[in-house]
Amino acid sequence: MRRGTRKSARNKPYQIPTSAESHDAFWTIKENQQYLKEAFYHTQDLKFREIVIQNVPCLLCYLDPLVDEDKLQRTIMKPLMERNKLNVDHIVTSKEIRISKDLLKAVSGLTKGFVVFLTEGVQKFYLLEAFSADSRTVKEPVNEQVVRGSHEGFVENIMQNIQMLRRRVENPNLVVKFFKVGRTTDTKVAIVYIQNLANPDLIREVEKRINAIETDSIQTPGYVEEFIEDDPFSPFPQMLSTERPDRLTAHIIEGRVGLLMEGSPSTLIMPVTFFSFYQSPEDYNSRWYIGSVLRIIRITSFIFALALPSIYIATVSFHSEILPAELILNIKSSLENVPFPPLIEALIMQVTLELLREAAIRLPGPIAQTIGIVGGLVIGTAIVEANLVSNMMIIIVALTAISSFAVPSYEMSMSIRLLGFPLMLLSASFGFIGLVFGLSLILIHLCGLETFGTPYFSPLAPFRFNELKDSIIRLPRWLLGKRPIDVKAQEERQEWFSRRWKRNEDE
Amino acid sequence: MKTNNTINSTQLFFIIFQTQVGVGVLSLPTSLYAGAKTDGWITLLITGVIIQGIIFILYLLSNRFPSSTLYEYAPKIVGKYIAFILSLLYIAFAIATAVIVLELFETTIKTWILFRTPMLAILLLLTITGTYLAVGKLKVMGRFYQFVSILIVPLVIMAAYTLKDADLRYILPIGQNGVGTILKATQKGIVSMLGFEILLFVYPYVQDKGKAALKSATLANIAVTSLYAFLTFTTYVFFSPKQLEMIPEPIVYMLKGVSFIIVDRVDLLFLSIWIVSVMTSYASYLYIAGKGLQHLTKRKKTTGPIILVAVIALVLSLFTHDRYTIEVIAGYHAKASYFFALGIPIVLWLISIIFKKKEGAL
Repeated sequence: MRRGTRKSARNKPYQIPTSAESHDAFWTIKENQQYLKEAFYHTQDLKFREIVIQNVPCLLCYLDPLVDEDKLQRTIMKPLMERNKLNVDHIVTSKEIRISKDLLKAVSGLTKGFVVFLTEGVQKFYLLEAFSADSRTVKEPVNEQVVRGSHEGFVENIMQNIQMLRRRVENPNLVVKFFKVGRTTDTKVAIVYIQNLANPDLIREVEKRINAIETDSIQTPGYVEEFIEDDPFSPFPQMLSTERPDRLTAHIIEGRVGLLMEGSPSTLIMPVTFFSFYQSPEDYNSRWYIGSVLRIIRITSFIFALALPSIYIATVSFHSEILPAELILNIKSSLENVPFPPLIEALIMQVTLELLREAAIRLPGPIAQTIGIVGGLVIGTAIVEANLVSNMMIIIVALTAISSFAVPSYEMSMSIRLLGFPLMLLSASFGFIGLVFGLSLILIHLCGLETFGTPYFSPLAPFRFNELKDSIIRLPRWLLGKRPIDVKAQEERQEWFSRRWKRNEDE
Repeated sequence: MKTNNTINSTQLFFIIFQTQVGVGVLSLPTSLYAGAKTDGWITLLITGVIIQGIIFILYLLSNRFPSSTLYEYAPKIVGKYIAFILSLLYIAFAIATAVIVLELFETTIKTWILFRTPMLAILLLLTITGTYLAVGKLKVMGRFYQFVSILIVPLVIMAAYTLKDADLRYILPIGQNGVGTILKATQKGIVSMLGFEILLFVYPYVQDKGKAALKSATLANIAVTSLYAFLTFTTYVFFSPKQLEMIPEPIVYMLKGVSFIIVDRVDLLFLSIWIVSVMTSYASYLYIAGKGLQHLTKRKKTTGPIILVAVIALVLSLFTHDRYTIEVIAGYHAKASYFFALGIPIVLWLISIIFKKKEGAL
């Protein structure tokens, strides 16, 4: 096949055919009803209700599951029946009223929770909003819990999520832009940013990438993420996923762009740096010393989770002489009865651990605890007594696992544990040399990775001393006068001497 | 949407620094000792001054053509054909340096850490990592070099820790071998401090050209000179002159005797850090050669040329692996390096001054 033809075929995505085409409405209710029924292939949740107003037969048509019963009664049926007049514009109290002659509009309106109001002998019809906004109650997201701070979490309803944002940022500059993505699902995706603060180039780039999406369906934000991220082959997540409104707000205020999606409580933030994954909104609620120490602990956890098993393997299988005699005697005696090389030991334990985690994650709470006890205590003890794995290795793997769970972001903690495996292989074959090269490769990758024009590993590479104070540690808020430079926000300052009252106090 | 492929003056500093610090650091004290006896560390300081002069000339040359590399402006100075040959020579020189780095790295690793690992495996490790680094464009190299430079701190601390066993009498009286010997030994020093010539190839990518760039290069030179002089000095006060004659890599030997609370073999840590420095200088030379090849073949990207260069260097380094051959090659390479780091740039600079060749003025 010639290259040109293949390309053009790729550019025309296949679409599931629908019978609905642009079609002028008919003059009689019957014909319109027939048309709509056929457009929806006689689906049984399409409901019709005939009413007579001023002796003219009229027809209400709606998709039952999408329409709010109360709204339908209160804002449409009741006014129409009680006032018994045909000037719908004035009588119906719906939030949104559209008038159209195109039946395709009626079809797409119905799928969005509108009620179609048809009148006998009139071609144009009304689309009356009666959308059911039901969603689950706002709860704290289970995977991003904090001790102090907001316990609000996003829900599946995009409008309610935007409402939470608007309540936090009461500013007309907060802009929401909607996109329709997915040809079959027609999913609503929104980007939010602060006008005159977020870099216009960044907004244009995000819009460009979202508009380029040509796909059948978008089920989760993960789809969008994979379509628009810079380096799809990188092991590191390049967008921060969060279910916390306070986290999203904090990032938007720094000049980033947030992406929300109908049907998913997790939102995406872009562009982010590596260290965003190690920050938690809670940091700003505790004393700044504590916040700083917590951040340093988390970054240490990164190194542990990544390299601890590899360091151990390299040490015991290649360079046991690096340890002092007393320590090495302990380690070697625990290794004595184990028939496997350290790499196999580590793999057994790591795989067991991943299995336990994967098994426990989808079980209801009490059973998950049982799994934890069976897995952690029983297997842990038994495997050592059976001489399959050494005591030391259990300690190392347990430490690694705990470290990896200390990361506030789930994706990042998975990525790191995954990266540990090739490192273990390298250090099992080359000792420290292999480990150094492996870590260098990861570091080079981190240095080269960029998301939406922002260096991923900033402020360490490129090194920016001034920004260490809000990434590696957390200094008091009044010392963080400037926004991070990499986002290229239009206004750099974010704080103006809030503690100036102190100066007057001493007088 | 990508950031510009430029480096700031701090990154320039680290690029020059890390290119200079490399394989040579291990054998430097011995080779200096062969030339200037226990005054080798003074030689190093003098070498630093000489190199500062060279850096100044390189800077003057680069500054006449601030937006092009040597490969790009050579045709304007000496004409198409000579420039072509010059570029080829530079590429060959950079490849040869890469080969020597590979060789020395392999022999050192074999002697100190991995005794039975196949040679190819060790060479491949360095080649793959170095190529990945060099392919990533100059900005990535700049960021990486700057980040890993923090590793120099523990290295210095390790060496400084040995000073507790130092005996100053070993190097006294200072200057006992006479000015002539000390000066003569500078040629040995220059070889191990090569790498500053990368200035000729990265200058167009520097954001703040002119004085700021010169300052970075100068500071890099000062940093390298003091680091080397310090390391040499510590070995000279640690080992007696008799011992120094016999020990090929005194720094590693010195650290082998040291132990901290939980680390018994500090030399292993030292070598692990040293690997990173080797990797950076190796990547720099791959970059120099790859950039030249890219220019000659008129390609848009450096990726292909750099991979090609890396493969050539790998194949070449497979041929020779006994110590003697390496030394012979290194000797030739050292002589050639005077031309490439000093001779050719000076000639180009003089010609460009005499014929008033400058960027913009054709």
